[in-house]
Amino acid sequence: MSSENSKKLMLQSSDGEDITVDRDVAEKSVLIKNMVGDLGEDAMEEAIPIPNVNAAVLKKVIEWCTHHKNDPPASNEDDSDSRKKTTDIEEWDQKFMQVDQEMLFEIILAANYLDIKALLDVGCKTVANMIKGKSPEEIRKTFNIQNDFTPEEEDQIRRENEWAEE
Amino acid sequence: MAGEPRRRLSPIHTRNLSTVTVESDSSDSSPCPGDDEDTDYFMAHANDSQSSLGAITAIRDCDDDIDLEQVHRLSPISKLPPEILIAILAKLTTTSDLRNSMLVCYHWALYTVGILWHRPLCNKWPNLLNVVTALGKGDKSYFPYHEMVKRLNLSAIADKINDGTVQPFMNCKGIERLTLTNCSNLTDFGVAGLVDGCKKLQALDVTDLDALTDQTLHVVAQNCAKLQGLNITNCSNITDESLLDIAEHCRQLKRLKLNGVVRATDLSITAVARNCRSILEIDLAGCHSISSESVTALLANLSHLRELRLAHCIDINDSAFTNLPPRLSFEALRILDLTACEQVRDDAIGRIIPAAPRCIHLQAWEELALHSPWPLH
Repeated sequence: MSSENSKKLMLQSSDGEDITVDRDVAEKSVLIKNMVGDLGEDAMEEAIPIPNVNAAVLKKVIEWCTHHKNDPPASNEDDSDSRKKTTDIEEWDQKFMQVDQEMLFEIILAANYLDIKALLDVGCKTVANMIKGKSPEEIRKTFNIQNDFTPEEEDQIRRENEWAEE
Repeated sequence: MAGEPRRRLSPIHTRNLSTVTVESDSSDSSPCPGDDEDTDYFMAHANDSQSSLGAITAIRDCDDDIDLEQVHRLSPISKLPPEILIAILAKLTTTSDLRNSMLVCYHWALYTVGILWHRPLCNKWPNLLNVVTALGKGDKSYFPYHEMVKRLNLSAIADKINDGTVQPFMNCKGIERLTLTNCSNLTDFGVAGLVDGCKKLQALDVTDLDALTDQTLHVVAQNCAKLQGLNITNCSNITDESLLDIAEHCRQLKRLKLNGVVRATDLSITAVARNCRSILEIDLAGCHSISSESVTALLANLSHLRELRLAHCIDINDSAFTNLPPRLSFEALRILDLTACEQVRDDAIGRIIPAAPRCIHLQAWEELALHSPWPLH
């Protein structure tokens, strides 16, 4: 690790907390990487505002980036891995994602905003796994979603998509 | 969400739902039947989804009766923008999970339907009947399913497929991959009817549809400028006449399989070589009517060519290779199949092998390969 990469950055969360983080960890975020690239040395002096992410979520995201900081950089999006619709998640990430739904979706939104593709992917897989194997009613219960279909609509959609039973 | 049911959009058919569906990119996929099932993938394109879903979000957001913060607190998943929810749904691996997601609520149905109907499952007769019934309802179906079908593979129930069976699919004009392998009861009427108007078709496999004539390929040529893979193996009635038309209009072809298209001659194959410069793989096994001239033209013009299969092209001789421009090399060539090309002798092998550094798979007339002094790389 070069000395430049071990430099620190300061991030300011939406609720005003300053969080110090290793530059190479923070740069797992393409958004931050580009900002630092644009700002140059100035980025080291002042806190970088992250207006869409609160401190609790930002710390969680940094925890993930720290654990994964030595992962090989994601290859281009058309590689064979991203083609697979697999929902396998490595063990550490599974544990990391064992949070309440509010935090889970905040992490996903933060990963999207900060442009951390691998974290967004893990988040989406986690939610997909919560959907798998459930009936429509079980899915509604899991995510507290209101059924806004009329019985006729629900019946029509069910019939028109019967082929997808198995 | 308390109180009044959420306001609905105007009738579903007045909107263009096809942009809600996930985009597929079949650009580099082969038309061979074997790899159709596993290469599927879905990518939610944020811009596409936003453009058409913006209206829905707007309606929800403007609704004074709904306190968004409260909705978010009660159901945190409602915070996700459509493109992320679509990316999540696209990770579901079974059609039954997708169908169950469709039945959750109206928004989920809207985001899921395009993923589910991207490739309707027609692997069993009852499934096909159900798919066909939904498509056949036209304006009366809940969603315009015909706009969403991008891949259609009927090869699993090939023996039950005829021109009548495929008729309900004829208004699916967004099809990108059409696999009809072994559906040998199909004729020009069925296949041309399916293809006509499919401007986005990228891969067509009509292996063993021996009733097909030039009529079908003319329709392909006139409609499918984006075609990248064409497999007409054993369509023995196809002639140069329509193949010339294909060479003229389908210039993005990458994979072409003409095994057993015995009436194809140098006339059409040299036209393919001149026009379709992106070709990666071409299989002419059993094309008895072609001669060395075709082979020379293919090798001289197609700089990306990876696979050239000429098994049983019995008229090919050494001149196919010795007539090539002297210093031309074949950097991309990996497979050269000369099985049973008995007139191709050492002279030819001596020209091609040193000039094809990546060719690791040479199938030649066995005895010749044994005695050849040129080692394979």
